[in-house]
Amino acid sequence: MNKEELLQELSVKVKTGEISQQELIDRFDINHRNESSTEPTQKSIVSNLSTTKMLYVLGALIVVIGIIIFFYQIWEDIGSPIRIFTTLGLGFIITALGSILIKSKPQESIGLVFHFMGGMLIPGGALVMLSELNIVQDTAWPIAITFGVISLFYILINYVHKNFVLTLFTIANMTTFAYFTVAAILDGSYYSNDTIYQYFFMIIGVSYLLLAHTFRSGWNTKIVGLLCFFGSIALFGAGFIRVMDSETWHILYFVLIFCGFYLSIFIKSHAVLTMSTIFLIFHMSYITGEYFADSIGWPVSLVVLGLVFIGLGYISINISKKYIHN
Amino acid sequence: MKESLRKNFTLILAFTLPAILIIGIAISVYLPSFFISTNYNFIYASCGDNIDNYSRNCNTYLSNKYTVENGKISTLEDRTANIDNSNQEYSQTGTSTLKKVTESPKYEVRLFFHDTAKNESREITLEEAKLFTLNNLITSPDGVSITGSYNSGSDILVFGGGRSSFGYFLTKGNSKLKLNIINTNDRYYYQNNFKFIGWVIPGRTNN
Repeated sequence: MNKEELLQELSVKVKTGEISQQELIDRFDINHRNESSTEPTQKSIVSNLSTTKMLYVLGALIVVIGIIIFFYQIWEDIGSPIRIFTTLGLGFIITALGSILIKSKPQESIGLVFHFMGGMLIPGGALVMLSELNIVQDTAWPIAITFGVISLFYILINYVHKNFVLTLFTIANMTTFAYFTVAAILDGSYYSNDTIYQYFFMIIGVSYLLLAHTFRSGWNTKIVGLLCFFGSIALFGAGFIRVMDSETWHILYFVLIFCGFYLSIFIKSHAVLTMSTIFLIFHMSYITGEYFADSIGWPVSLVVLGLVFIGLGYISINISKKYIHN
Repeated sequence: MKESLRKNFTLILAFTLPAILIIGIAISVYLPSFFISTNYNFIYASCGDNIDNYSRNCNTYLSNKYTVENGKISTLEDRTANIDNSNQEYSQTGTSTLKKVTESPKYEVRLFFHDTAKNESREITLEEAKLFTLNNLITSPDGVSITGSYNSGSDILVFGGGRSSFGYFLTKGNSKLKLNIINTNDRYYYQNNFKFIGWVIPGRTNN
C-alpha cells in the first residue's frame, strides 16, 4: 500500500465514521506538532477556537436555561402531550440535529453543542413523561428502567460518533440508572439504607477512576480530569461518611487515602492528589476531635493540626512536582 | 479475545464493579423472601374508600369492631346486641367493664381472605368469615409473623422526594416477604388501614 492509497483508506474510514478525526489528532499528536512548528499563527487560531468553544458552551447553557424558564412559565397552561414534547421530544430533536451536524461538519464543535443541549433535556424530559403518564408509583423501577434505556441510547450514539461529550452523558445516565436500580431493589429511603448507599458511591468512585485510567489515551482524554475529580469525591466522600458511622473505618480510611496518594502518582492526576489531601485533612481533624481533643485539649490539638496541615500541603506539592508534573 | 480482555481490563472492571454490587444487593434483598412461607392463610379487615380525615383511627375502630372469641370472628354488634339496640357501640375493657363509645358511620369496613401460597387477597362476607376457625396470635402456628413497615419511598439521594407507603410483611428471622394486601389508601395518614384478625386453622397441609 503506497502513501496515496494509505491516505485514501484513512479518508474513507474518517468519512464512514470508523475512525474519528479526534482519534487521529490524539494518536498522532497533530495539535501539539502544529503548535510547535507554526507557533505564532497557530496560537492565535487556538485562542480563537477556545473563545468560540466557550461561546458555544455559554450559548448552549443559556439556551437550555431559557427553555426551562420559558416552559416553567407556561407549564400550567399546556397539556401533557405538549409538556412531553417540549422536554423529551425537544431533547431528542436537538440530539438528532447534533448527530447530523457532527456528520456534516466534523471539524466543528457545533454538533457537540447540540448534543450537550439534548443531553441536558432528555433525562428531565423522560421524568416529565413518567410523571405525566402517571407511571411513577411507589417503586423506583420505572425511573431505573427509563435511565437504563437512555443509557443504551447514549451507548449507541457514542459508538457511532465516538465523542467525549456523549461519553460524559453515557456515564452520567448509567450512574443514575445504577442509583435508581439500587433504590428500586432496596425499596426504601436513603436514610434507612445509608450504609449500602455509602458503599455504592465508593464503588461508583472506583469505577470513575478506572474509567479515567482507561481513557488516558484515545478520544475521551478530555474527560479524564473530570472523572478523576468526581471519582475521588465519591470514593473519599462516601468513605468519610463511613468513618463517622464505623470505628473500623477510622483505620481503614487512612489506608484508602494512602491508596489515593499512590493512585494520583500512578495515573498522574492532580484531582486525585488534591482530593486525597483534602480528605486526609478532614480525617485528621475528625480523629483529633474524637480521640485527642479531650485529653490534650483543643488549643494544643489545633496547633498540632495546623502543623499537620502545613506538612500535608508540603508533601502534596512535592508529590505533584516530583511525580505528576514530570 | 484474551488480548482484547487484557487490553480493556480496567474498562470491564469499571462496569463490572457496580454490577456486582447491584447483584449482591438484589440477592441479599430478594433471596430471603424465597425461604419464607407459611401453611396458614389469614383474614384481615380494612377500611373502604369512603374514609374521612380521621381515618388514622381506622385501626382502633377495626380493633373495637372485630375480635376472635373461641376461635371464631366476633363483631361488636354481636357482643352488644343484647345490651343496647341504639346507634351506640360498646367495647369491653378488662373482663367485666363495658365502656360506651359513640359509633359513627364513617368507615366502610371490608373483610379479606389472604392466600399466603399465592400471596393474593379476595374479599369475603362476614358470614363467610364466621365459617373459619381462627387463631388471633400475630405469629402463625408455623412461626411466621405479620409485621408492618413504613417506607418513606426511594429518595433522590439525600433530598427525599420518594412517595411514602406503609407495607406489611411476612417475617421469620431475617426473612421477609411483602404481602400484596388490599387497602387502597394505605399511605402516610392511612397507615393503620389494616387489622389482622387471625390465622385460618387448620393450615393447608392439614386439610
